[in-house]
Amino acid sequence: MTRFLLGVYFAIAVAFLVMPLVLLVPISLTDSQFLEFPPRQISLRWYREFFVDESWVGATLLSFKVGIGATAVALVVGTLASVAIVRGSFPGRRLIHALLVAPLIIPTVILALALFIVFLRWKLVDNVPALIFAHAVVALPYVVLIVSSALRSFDTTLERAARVLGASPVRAFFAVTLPYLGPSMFASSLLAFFASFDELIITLFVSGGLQTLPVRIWTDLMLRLDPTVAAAATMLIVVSVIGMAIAEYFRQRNVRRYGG
Amino acid sequence: MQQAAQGLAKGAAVVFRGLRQVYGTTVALEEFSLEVGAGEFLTLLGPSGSGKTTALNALAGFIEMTSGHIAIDGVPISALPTEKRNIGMVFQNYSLFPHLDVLDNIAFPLRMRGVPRRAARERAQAALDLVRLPEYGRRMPHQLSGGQKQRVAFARAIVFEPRVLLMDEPLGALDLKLREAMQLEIKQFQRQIGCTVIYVTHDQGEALTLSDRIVVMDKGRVLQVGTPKEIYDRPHTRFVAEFIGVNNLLPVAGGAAGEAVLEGVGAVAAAVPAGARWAALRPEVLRAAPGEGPIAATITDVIFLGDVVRYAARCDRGATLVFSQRREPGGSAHAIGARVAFPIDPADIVFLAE
Ligand SMILES: Nc1ncnc2c1ncn2[C@@H]1O[C@H](COP(=O)(O)OP(=O)(O)OP(=O)(O)O)[C@@H](O)[C@H]1O
Ligand SMILES: [Mg+2]
Repeated sequence: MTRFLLGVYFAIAVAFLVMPLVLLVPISLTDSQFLEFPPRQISLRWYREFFVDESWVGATLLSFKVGIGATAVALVVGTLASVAIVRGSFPGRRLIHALLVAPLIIPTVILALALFIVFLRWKLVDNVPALIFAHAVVALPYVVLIVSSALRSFDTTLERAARVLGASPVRAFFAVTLPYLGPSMFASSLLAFFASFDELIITLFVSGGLQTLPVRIWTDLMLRLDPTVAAAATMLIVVSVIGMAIAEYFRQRNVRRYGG
Repeated sequence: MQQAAQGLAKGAAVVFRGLRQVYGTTVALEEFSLEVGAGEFLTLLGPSGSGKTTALNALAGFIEMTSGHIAIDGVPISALPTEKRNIGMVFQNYSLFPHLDVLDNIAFPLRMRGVPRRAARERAQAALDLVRLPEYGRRMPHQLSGGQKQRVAFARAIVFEPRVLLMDEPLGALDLKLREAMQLEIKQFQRQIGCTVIYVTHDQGEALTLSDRIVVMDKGRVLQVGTPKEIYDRPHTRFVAEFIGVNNLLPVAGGAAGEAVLEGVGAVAAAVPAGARWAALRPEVLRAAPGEGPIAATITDVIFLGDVVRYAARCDRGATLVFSQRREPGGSAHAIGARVAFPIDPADIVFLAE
């Protein structure tokens, strides 16, 4: 499952990131005022511009802050929910699973509208923790899908072995189950992080004056268009490729250790 | 470890009393009562689904019994959680922790008991020496062969000096040759450590080789408990007689006094115990002489087994008897179609009621 989802993620990444990359990288390296391809003069001017402009830096920092926060919330809530769904035997387990995964299926605009109404009612617009919560809702399905499927394929005799060797149930979970889930949790947090980092529509609805990186890019597209956007996008691509490579490394290590 | 081998050298006595385990409509264990002596090597032997694993799981605390109780050294353990029972266990698939190296795997039970890291690793190394893999501490489990994993699992199960060791088909995943070698090693380790072992297998040869006593189980019930010799020579029921080794089973018809009529074979001068319905005859005690006699047969099959040759012979009255003969220099071999006579010794017949 993890492998499948990573594969899907990879295909999407290839289609939406790597293909435009061919155009974006040279465009970001131009010396000109405008988006031009191919560039006539190479320079790092727009990268410098990105780091000098406070609105870009601020938007990036906010995106990281919200992304990391949403990932942390989604990871903890999603992992605990997965344990309850897979190991528990209470009625409504499937329903809870479906609910947690729903944000992946429901059209984002509808979700954004719903969140917007709630945020208005409770005066949460323009509030960073609330934005983190909204992003966590979008990030949660990735964690629940990947971690619960990993948990299902986990050989519980390992936990039994830990128990009989002297570990309490909680200790056995931390000593044996969690290390197995590690790569899946890492892969799902990566997906969760980028789900938040990319997120535009919900953010536009509920963020008020807060500008995340996608919002910043979007406003830039509305107003003026200079190659800083291309520079920002290129750096984003580099970061996500590195993340995926690390996730793949851990996944392969797990396959070696636990067998296919 | 050396101290452990000499100092502790005493296993615990385990008593199962009236265990019953029901899964839905399946009765996995019924009236399961058993007394295991301190330091004994006891084997649960039975076909698949006979409740062997269920009995071990009940002792380890993995399942809550429907009813019945278990005591270790006279102390009831039903209220104790698994981790407090202080039982060593070797699983069929070894269940080594894949993310820990060999030494950390073996040190795990010690760490769980609060032994400091250094001391735990030293004792783990001693256990690794015991199973003769001293150089393998830094390997990851996936870098070991099946037999090596098996030994590491064994070391991990005994490093904390449990007084009871459970082994659920520990050699099931190994090939025949390795299995036989490991059987000898397990027996040897157990003698060194002195703990009580409850061993599960459905391989009767393994049970006969290893055990002080064997418990034959079927459909959740204990059919017979005894030394390997007793189980082999004096099975109580038809099931046990058929399950252990090869046996000729013949229906018994009532004859004259002091005479047993074995259906399809003939009459033998033997007193038939009351209620006996079957007669069991081991192939290796059955002697056949070339020629004719009161119980005569024609050889129909010859199977070469290496040190012995097994023959199938069809008696004139209809039954087929299997017998085996050692290959001795000058010993006569029978050819297919040859005529033989069986001088059946009444003392070799085991009469069975059911
Ligand atoms: N968790 C369970 N739920 C339902 N039925 C079970 C469960 N565990 C065991 N059983 C049933 O209980 C019976 C005894 O099972 P058990 O695992 O003890 O057999 P076994 O003697 O160990 O067999 P094997 O040699 O195949 O391992 C079987 O009929 C099995 O189907
Ligand atoms: Mg079993």
